Amino acid sequence: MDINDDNYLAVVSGRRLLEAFSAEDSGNFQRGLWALLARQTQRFTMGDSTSVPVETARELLKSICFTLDSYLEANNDDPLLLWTMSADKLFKAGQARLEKEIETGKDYLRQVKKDAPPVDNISYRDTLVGLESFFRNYDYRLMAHEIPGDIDYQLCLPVPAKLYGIAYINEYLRRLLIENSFCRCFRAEQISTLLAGYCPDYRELLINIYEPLAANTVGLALLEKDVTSLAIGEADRAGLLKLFTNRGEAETAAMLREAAAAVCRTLHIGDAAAAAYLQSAALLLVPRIRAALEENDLSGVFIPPARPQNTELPAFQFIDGQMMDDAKLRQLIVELGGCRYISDKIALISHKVRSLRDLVEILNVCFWGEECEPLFASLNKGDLAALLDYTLQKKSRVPDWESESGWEKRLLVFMNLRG
Amino acid sequence: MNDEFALSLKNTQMRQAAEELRECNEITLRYGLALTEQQIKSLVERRFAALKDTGRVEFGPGILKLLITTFCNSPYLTRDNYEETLIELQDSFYYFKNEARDLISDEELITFMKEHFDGICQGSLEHLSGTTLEELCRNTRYGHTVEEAMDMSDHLRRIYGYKR
Repeated sequence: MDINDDNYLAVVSGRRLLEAFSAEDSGNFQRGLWALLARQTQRFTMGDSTSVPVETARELLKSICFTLDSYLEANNDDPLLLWTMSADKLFKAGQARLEKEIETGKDYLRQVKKDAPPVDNISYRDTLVGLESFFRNYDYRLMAHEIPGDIDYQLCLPVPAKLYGIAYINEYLRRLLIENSFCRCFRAEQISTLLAGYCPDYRELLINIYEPLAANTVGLALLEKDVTSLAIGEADRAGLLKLFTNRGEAETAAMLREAAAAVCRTLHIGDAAAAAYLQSAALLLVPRIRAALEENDLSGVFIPPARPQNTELPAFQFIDGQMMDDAKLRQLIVELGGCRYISDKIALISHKVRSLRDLVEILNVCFWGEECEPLFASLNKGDLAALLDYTLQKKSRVPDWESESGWEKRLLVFMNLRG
Repeated sequence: MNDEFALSLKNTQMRQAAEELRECNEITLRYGLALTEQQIKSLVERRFAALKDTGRVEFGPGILKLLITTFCNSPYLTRDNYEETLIELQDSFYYFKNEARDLISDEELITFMKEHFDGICQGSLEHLSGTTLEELCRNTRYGHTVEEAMDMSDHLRRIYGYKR
């Protein structure tokens, strides 16, 4: 079997330990590694087979090397470990280390779920499901280097591809936490408005939420304006254009670095990792700014907020009337589940729903997160009052009542905002 | 792994395998079968060639011992065709492990091979690998469990009236 950077040699040579290994030490270590591979293969086949395809053996060896590597890394690549511990002992210590890493990863995931950005994005939601599936299916004993879960949501600064298994996932989650805590410095409406300007279909597409926020805050810091507003208008972009014109690459980078530090001060970002992350994200703007300067247009870098679109939503006239029969309601719920756009959902409701209780049923299972606000915005005052009345009465009867989708909380916030 | 280590590993495995085959002679002698040192060497070398040809890696002494202890009481094995049959069986074994996508355990596959070799194939290795094992692997690939696949392959045996 060929050995490449993915396995044995990576364990020693990648860490410059190979020179310290005599031929005898190297032979002993390889024998230990081979014995480990034989045992892992036996576990993999559950004793059913003495042989496996080369591809399977290669994957098992990668897993072993990843496990050994994680222990060596955690111990600052101490070369003494390779002499004083057998491959078997190193492997067991590596597995113990991976178990701890898995627990850390689960904690990270809990925090990520708790501190999710206050806007909806399908790839983000799917990725949370994928991450849960990772922790359910991750087999650190035999295939520790694999990532059994779909990770669709793109980070502003992607995780290096050289990381495998739980190391990749934990780094992904650590970065996601940094992004989330930054996003939570802003209100949901501010973020949605900015994202809608960045990409009108931001809920459906594979976009990163942090990136446009970081860019705009850095832009505002450069202009010495309120970074918490996120809003960069036409005049601001003209000001930025003036600032960047005739600046070299190094100078532009220095300006962005300073601006990122100013953003951290304003938003009270004390965590060094989060500050470094924002600085790296700001530096990613350098080539984009230089390219945009050639066109004298920075609107692709510092995003203008979207114009309010409420007027485009279909008008909704709701009169409490006859409840529809259960089969029709079920069919409507299925139809709503298949709608790609919120405006389609609202149009369907406006066309088919005639009863407050039907509307409540639909809100319970078809409207999630920030989908609720456009619907509330499409209701007239009377309808909203009826819905609010229903919510308050329900709460007074059953104080612990919470709907499945949480629409009632959003309604209360929505009504407060409207005054 | 470096060449020196790979060579020493291969030598160790070959020594182990040869030792096991010598031990097997004690069992097979009662059936009038024994391997000479030259035959042992050739069988062990053939094992590595078969593994390489089928793209498989094997740990420990290999499958030959199990093949010998299972097949030694076959009425179709004689002193003259013993080595040749073992080589063919070994080649077929690794080939069909791949064909069955490792869904069949070593023991199940060898038991199946023995039953059909002694049964419907009447000692014909061509028949064994050309029809019976092909059918078994095809059935496992179609999603049948190993037991189902084996039962499906049994219909031939039932037609010809062999007993399991």
